[in-house]
Amino acid sequence: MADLRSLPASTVWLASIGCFTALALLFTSQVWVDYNYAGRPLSWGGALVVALIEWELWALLAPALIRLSERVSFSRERWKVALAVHLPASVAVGAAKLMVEAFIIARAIGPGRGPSSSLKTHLTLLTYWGIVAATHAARHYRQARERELRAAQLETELARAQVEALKMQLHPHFLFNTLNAVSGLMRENVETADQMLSKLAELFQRTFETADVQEVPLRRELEFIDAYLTIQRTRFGERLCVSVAATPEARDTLVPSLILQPLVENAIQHGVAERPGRGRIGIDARVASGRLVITIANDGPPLPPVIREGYGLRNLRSRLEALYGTRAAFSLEPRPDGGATAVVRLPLAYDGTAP
Amino acid sequence: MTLRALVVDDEPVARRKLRMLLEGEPSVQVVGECEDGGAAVDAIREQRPDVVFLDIQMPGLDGFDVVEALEPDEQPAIVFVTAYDRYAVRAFEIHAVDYLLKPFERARLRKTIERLVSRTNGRDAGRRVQAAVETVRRHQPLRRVLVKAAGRIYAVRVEDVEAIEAAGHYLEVRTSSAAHLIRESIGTLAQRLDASRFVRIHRSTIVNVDRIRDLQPAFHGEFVVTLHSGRRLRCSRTYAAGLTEALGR
Repeated sequence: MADLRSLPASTVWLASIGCFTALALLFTSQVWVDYNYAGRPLSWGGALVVALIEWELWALLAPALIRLSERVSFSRERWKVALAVHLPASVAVGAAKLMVEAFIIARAIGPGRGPSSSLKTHLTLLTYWGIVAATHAARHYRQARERELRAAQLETELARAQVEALKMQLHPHFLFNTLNAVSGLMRENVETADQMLSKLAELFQRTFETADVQEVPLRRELEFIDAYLTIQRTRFGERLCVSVAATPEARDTLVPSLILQPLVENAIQHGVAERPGRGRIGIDARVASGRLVITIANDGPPLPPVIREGYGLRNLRSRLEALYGTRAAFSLEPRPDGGATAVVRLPLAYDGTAP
Repeated sequence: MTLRALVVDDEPVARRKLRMLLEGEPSVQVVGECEDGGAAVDAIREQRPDVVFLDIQMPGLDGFDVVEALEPDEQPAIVFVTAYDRYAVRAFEIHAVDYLLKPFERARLRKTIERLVSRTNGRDAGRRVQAAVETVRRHQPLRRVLVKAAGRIYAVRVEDVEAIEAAGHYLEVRTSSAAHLIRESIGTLAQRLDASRFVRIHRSTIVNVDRIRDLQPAFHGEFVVTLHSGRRLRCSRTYAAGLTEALGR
């Protein structure tokens, strides 16, 4: 069901009129019986007119009542407020409606005694609360749908991030160059060759582990990146200089799983792999003004004025949006002395086991 | 006969591996190592090796750039060394060019050396290497423009280029801070550039659309194109539609 607030007013009115016309037709025979019992025989046509007057008045009132129910709804925290608003409102709206209705009916079929007024009062109050209940149900349904949609979207984005991570590991230039380095190291330093293989295995293992985990402590992400960087440092030797600094507080903070990998990969690609000579990568994570701030800097060539973002960065943006909405931010900024800094800002959250 | 070999790879471990394996071969003498393409071009000119083991993916000039930078008479026998690359490997197969896929083993390297020593690879090997490089290049848009200046050779990344303008028999490749002269025709270069980024705006001008700040209509359906650097260019009527289309993408 669509959000009532987002529907055009004309649609709400039309739906309301349609709904209550149907009710009027349904209640015509009831009106006919009531008036006959009250000793005031009506024709079927007269009964239909009375029923239409009774129900179309609700059609006029319904949009306003729906809006009121949307604003003052029966949630777990606010039910007392809602009761305090809707109880007097139902009595006041009901009484006013009954008076207006009696006046119009008298003009339509002539003055005279109608059916029992207590019956009418009950039905009026019941209708008011019916509208409130229907609005509440619609709202509940809508929220459940939104939650489902969001969960599904998050799952998709995580799956994509995982595919991206695997692509990085299976990328021919990464995988085969790493294997070639292992094959070279075997002839000169078995320990290093051994370490290289176990780090490569660790990359795959950690990627598979994140299959259904949206958030992990930053500590885990840094371990993942460490395995990746150990391999890259062995391959590039002195050309790649990496520094990682993270405060203990930052390490415990939850971050989206696999969030660092595309950023570090980009930093190495642009900062080191594509230009001759040495390149520096600096990874820093700290808590500042109530947020976790992660920066990944490289001293490669300056950023062009328009950045063509690859799939990895677009995926990162949409995951941040789905997980945190406006509470998270990502930016890619030029550094004054060349190179670029990627900055991720996240709300602070910890899992149950962390302090 | 001893083969004088040069090893070119940006990864130190990979260079050490090749050197170690080659030094185990009595018919080969390693005369040097280079860690990027620019150094390789210089070393080839200076040392005149018989064979170069040439990595393809390198910063600055890559392996293919090295081949393009060399004059035909300077070119030694080339053995490309690469992690898997579909187009390149197919091109090497088609043109019967020597290559090694990483990770390679001693036996595979030995076969390559045997072919080099016995010269079974034929006389026109150099021409076939050039043809293979051309084939690969046709499959991918240009990523770097090679500039040869005063005996030095270097690469300008295409994303750093803001515009290319014809200047007599040369082209002026402009970045925001410098201009480089290359000998090439504007039509040939336009064809090799990524069409989603580089657009012809005049008979003698190509522009990088990512560098355009704004467009102002001028007389006769022409536009004045202002770049982020402040530089202004003219877009003639013939090319105006192509430019607005590229900017709309």
